[in-house]
Amino acid sequence: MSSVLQQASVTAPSTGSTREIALTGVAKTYPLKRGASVTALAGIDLEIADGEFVALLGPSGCGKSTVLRIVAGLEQPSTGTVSVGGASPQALSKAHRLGVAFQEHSLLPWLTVRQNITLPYKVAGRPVDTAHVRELIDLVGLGGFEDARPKHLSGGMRQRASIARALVLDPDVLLLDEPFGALDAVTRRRMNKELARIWAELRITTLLVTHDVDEAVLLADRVVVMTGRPGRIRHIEGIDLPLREHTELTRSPEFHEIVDRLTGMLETTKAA
Amino acid sequence: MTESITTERAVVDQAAEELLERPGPAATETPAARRRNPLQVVGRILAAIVVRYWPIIAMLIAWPVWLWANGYSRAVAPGPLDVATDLVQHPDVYLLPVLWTALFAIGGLLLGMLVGIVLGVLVWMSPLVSGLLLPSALILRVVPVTAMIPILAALFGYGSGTVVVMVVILVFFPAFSLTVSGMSSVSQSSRDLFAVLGSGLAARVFRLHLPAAIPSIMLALRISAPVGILGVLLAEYLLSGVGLGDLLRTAGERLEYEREWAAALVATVLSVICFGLARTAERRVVDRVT
Amino acid sequence: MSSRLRTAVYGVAGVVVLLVIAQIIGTTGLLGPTWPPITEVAAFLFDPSNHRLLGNALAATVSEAALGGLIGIVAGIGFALIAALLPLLAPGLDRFAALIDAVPAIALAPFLILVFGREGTPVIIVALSVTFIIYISTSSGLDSAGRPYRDLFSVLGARRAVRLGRVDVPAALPKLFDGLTLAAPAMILGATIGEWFGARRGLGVLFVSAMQNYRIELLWSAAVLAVLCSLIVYGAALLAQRAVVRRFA
Ligand SMILES: Nc1ncnc2c1ncn2[C@@H]1O[C@H](COP(=O)(O)OP(=O)(O)OP(=O)(O)O)[C@@H](O)[C@H]1O
Ligand SMILES: [Mg+2]
Repeated sequence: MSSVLQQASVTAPSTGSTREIALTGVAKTYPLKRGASVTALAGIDLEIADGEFVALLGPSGCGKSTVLRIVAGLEQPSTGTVSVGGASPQALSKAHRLGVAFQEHSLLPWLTVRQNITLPYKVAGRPVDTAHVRELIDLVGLGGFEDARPKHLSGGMRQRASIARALVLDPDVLLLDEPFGALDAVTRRRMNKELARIWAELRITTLLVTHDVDEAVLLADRVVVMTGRPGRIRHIEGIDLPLREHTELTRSPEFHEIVDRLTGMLETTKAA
Repeated sequence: MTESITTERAVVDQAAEELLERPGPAATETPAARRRNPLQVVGRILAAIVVRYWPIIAMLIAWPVWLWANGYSRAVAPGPLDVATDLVQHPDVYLLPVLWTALFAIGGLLLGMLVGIVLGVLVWMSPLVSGLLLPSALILRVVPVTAMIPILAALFGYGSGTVVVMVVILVFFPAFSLTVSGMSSVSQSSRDLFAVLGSGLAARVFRLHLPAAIPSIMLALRISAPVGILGVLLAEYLLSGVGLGDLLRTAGERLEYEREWAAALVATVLSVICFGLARTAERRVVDRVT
Repeated sequence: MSSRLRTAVYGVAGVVVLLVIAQIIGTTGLLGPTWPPITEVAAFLFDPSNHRLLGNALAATVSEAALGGLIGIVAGIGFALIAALLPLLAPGLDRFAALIDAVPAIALAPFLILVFGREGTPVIIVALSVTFIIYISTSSGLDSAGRPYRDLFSVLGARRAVRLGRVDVPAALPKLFDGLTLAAPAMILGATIGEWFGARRGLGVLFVSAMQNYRIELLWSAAVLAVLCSLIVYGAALLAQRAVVRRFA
C-alpha cells in the first residue's frame, strides 16, 4: 500500500472476515429482442485484495457499471465466477455488509435526507446510530439539509447523500459508480479528500467507477483501464507514488506522467 | 379540472394491458429446457394453463360444490351442463338476439366514435370552446347509464332508436375527450417544425395533430367496446323487445333459468369478443402509426 | 389571468352555458314535454315534500355504493399485494381481473341474485367493478418503482416484504388514488345497475319507476342526485390524489 492515503494514521479495524473480490473469466451477454444479443463483457479477470482500492476507467458504454453490478450480485455473469470474501455477492448483501452508491442516486423521494441515510439501519433491523448519521451528514457537507427532500436538492447534493447512505453501515465492501459525476471540480476534490480520509481509516475494499483520470490516480491503489465492445481489461496500472500531501501530489510531475499516460490510453481506446 | 375521468380510465386500461403482458413463471425458461419428452411437455402446458387461469378453474369447481352444499335444485340454479344443453338444443333462440345486440353495439360504437372524433377536432381548434366544453363533458360522462336510458326513453320512446342514441352518447364522450387530449399532446418541436414550414390549419390538423391523436382515439375505441355492449344490454333489458338484454329479462320473468343463464353466458362471450376485437384493432393500428 | 384560473373560469362558464341551453330547451319545449326546464327540476329537488322519497332512495344507493366500494378497495389492494408477494399467482389474477371487467354486469345478475340475494346484488356489483379498478391501478403502481430502487434494496439485503413496505407501497400510492378517482362514478353506476334486479329502494329503482309512471321531474331529480354523488366522491378522491402525488412522487 503506498497511496497518498497512508499519511493519515492507519487504524484498520479487524473485522476478522476476508473481503477480497475475485472475478475469473467473467463474461456478460444481454439478450435483446428477436434472438439478438449484446456482449457487454468478455473474459474479465480481476482480483481486488482485502482493503484495496481499485478504480475502473473506460469510455462510456464499455461495461464499467456492468462489472460493478456483477460484483454487487445484481447481475449473474453469463460465464465465469465472481466471489466476494470467498462467498457469493448475494451472501454479502444478505449480511448487510455491502455499501453501494449507484450512478443514478436512487434516493427515495418521499423520505428526507436523514431518513434516506438511516434507511440501511431500518432494512438491516439494527438500531439507528444517530451520532454516526450526524457525522456522515456533516462529512458529505449536507448539514442543514437533513430534513429536505431529494427533489429540493441539487444533483451533486443527491449524490453526496447517496454516498453517505453507502457508508452508513460501515460496509466491508464499497462499490461506487461515478459517485462524483455531478459535482463541480472544487467540491469533487473536497469529496475526494474526504473519501481518501475515511477510506484510510476504515480500509474498506473499494471498487470505484469514474471518468476522471485525476480522481482515479489520486484515490486508487490500482487503476484498471477498460476497452469497449465487448468490455475487456486493457491495462492495469499500479499507483506507486511517494507519500505526499494531496494538493502537493496533484502538482507533482510523477502524478502528471501517470495521468497523461492513462488519458492517452483512453483516447486511443475511444478511437479504436 | 383539465384531466377528465376518461383519460384516467385510459391510464388504468393501459396498466391492465401491461399487466397482461407480465411474463409468467414459464416464460423465463430457456428454449433448450422446453425440448423434453411429450409427458413433460403436456405437464408444462397444464402448469401454464393452471398458472394463467387458476381463479376461473377454482370458480368452475366451487360452483357445483356450492350448489350441492346449499341443496339448491337444478330448477333454481342450473349447472354448467344444463346451460350448455339449452344452448345446443335451441340455438335459434339465441341467434337473432345476438345479432341484434351486436348490430346495435357495433353500429352505435362506430357512429359514436365518428361523432366524437369530428367534434373533438372542431373543438380542439378553439381553446375557448374546448375550455368551455371539456368540464361539461366530464359532468355528462358521470351520468350513470341507468339514468340515461330512462331519460332517453322518455324523450325518444321505447324503441330501438333510443338504444342507438344511448350507445352513441355513451361512446361519444371517451372518443371526444381522448381526441382532444391526443391532438393537444403534440410536442412543441413538431409544432415549431410545422410553423417553420408555414403550413396551414388543414395541413396541421391532418398531417400532424390527427395522426398524433390516433393512439388516443384507438384507446377510446377499446374503452368504449365493453361500455357500449353493457349499455345496449341494459337498454334492451329495460326497453326494446329485441336483443340479448330482452332475452335475459323475459327468461327471468318466465322462470326459465337455464335460458337466463345461457343468455348471460352468450352476452359475456359477445362482450369478451368485442373487447378482444377492439384490443386487436388498437394494437394493429397503433403499431402502424408509431 | 393565470392559466389555472382561466381553465376554472372557462369550465364554470361552460357548465353555465350547458345549464342555460338545457333551460331553453325545457321552456321552449324543443324536445317535447319530457325535457323539463332546469328550474323545475331544481324546484322539485328543493321541495320538502319530495325529500323523503329522494332521501330514501339516495340513502339506499349511497350505502350500497359505500359498502361495495369499501369491499372493492380492500379486495383490490389485497389481491394486488398477494400478486406482488406471490408472483406465481399473479398471471391468473391479472387474467381474472380482465375477464371480470369484460363481463357485462347485467350478465352476472342471475348468478349474483342467487348467491347474494336481491338486496345484496347491488353491493356486489359495485364491489366487483371497484375491485377491478383498484387491483389494476395498485398492481401497476407496485410495479412502478424503478430499477434503481430495486437494486438499492437488493444490495441492502432487504427481504421482499421489506422492499414492498418501504418502496413499492409508497410508490404505488399515486396510482392507487388515480384508481380511486376512477372508481367514484363506477360505484354509483354499479349500485344503480344492481338495483334494477329487484331491489326495493334506491336511485336505480327510482329511475325506472319514474320513467314508467311518467314522472319526469322525479326522473331528472334522481339523475341530478346521482351525478352530484359521483362528482362529490370524484372530487374528494381527486383532492386526496393530488396530496398523495405531492408527497410521494
Ligand atoms: N440491462 C441491459 N440490457 C441490455 N444491454 C445492457 C444492459 N445493461 C447494459 N447493457 C449494455 O452493456 C454495455 C455496457 O453498459 P454499462 O452500463 O456497463 O456501461 P458503462 O461503462 O457503465 O457506461 P457509462 O460510463 O456510460 O455509465 C452497453 O453497451 C449497454 O448497452
Ligand atoms: Mg455506467
